[in-house]
Amino acid sequence: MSDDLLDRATRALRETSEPDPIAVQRTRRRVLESLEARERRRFRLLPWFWPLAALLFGTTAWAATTGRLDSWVAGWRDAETAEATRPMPSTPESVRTRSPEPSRESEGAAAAENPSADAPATESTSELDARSSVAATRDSSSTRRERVPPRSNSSVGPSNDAPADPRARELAAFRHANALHADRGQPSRALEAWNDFLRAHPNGIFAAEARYNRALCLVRLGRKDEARRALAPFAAGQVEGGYREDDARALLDVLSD
Amino acid sequence: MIGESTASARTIFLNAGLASGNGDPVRMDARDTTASLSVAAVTALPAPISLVLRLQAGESKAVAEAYQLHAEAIFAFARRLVGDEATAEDLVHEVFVTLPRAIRRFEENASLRTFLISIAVNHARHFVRAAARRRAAMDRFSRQESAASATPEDEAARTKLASALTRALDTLPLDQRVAFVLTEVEERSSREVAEIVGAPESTVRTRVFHAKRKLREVLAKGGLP
Repeated sequence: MSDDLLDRATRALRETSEPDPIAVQRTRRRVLESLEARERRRFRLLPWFWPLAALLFGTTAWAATTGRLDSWVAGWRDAETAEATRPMPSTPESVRTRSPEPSRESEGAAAAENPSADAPATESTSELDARSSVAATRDSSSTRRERVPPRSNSSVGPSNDAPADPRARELAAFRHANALHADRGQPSRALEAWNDFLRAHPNGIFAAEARYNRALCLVRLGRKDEARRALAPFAAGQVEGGYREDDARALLDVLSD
Repeated sequence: MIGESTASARTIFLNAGLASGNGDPVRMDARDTTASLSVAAVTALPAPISLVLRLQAGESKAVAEAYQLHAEAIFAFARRLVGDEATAEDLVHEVFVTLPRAIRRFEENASLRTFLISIAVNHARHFVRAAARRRAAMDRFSRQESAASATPEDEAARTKLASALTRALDTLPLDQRVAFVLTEVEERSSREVAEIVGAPESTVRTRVFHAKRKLREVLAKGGLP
């Protein structure tokens, strides 16, 4: 009997504790007001900024005139080089392993300068990388190749002054496609942008989400069969340890109606 | 932020709450993935990665967007956990105001909603105590509730039961209370609850076991039918 009472009480608590919409909206205002107040407090610190900036400027000017600036810059550059050549920390299995980028970058640069002998080796290495899971090095060569002509006329790719770091390039490309995706009035352009992204970064860290968003575009465009095929691996839990599994199943259920 | 894109951006994979076409959150039971969704509703999904990136950048609009998507679920949990509306509001306010800082701890393969609930759990102690003290004070100074009520009999009985359970929850340690509310009231899986509270599943199940045993005792003593 006490079990039944506890069950009934639990059900009663669940059913009687749905939030009041007015309270939800009221709290939303409170949250935004609190965040704005925090911003204003931060802004009040700005009067301190200019004196500190002046101090920094004065110090830099003094260092430049006394020759100390050059030694500081040289020391900073040495520290940067040491950081760049340090072995990368290990990453989860789903993130690609990286080979030391400076050496790959210099290989790519050398191949660009000496296309005759080195290029085939670099190209075939890139193809091997394409078959393996080393997406970072593949990205550095493949995006170099693909950057020149825009592949679709409806979506201009990331600008040509994208950052040199392959991960940052991938992030910039993802953001570009995502901006089109967020504008729900342009599913065709968004789809092309996701296709471009996945061609450039098929094994990147955002590849799974890009594939899922691509599937959403297919749904929005009414291309149900393609959408089902795109969603199937997600619904089967085969992507990134079950990423979007529940959402994909819900979508497939809706598409089957 | 570009410099830390590897670590932080990799933590982006999440299951954001579903949104209907007009931006209102679609209410879904934690285990029911075949709720009545239209294609338009489902395809109006936000771009989770951009939301988390913007939250990490401290955008107020991103917080507003996260609020729009998840506030109702967090409110419901807060209400069930602390036991009164006003304190629940305060807890929800705390959750979203601290979100721009807390989002730095966001881990990959997590759900933003689950993460928000874990923030609520972390901040709950003060609010639960305040609500329990308020209830105890009201019990001392107010008359006992009459069984008669202007509302229909079933509604009154349900409210009375819920109120009794809320008072019974006040007798539990916070970790048992949280485990019980998440598992039994919100009907979340042990795995999800373990992720929220940061404890092993076995620990969660043990807490729920002890919570239920204690609650049965307290409810039985309360003389409820």
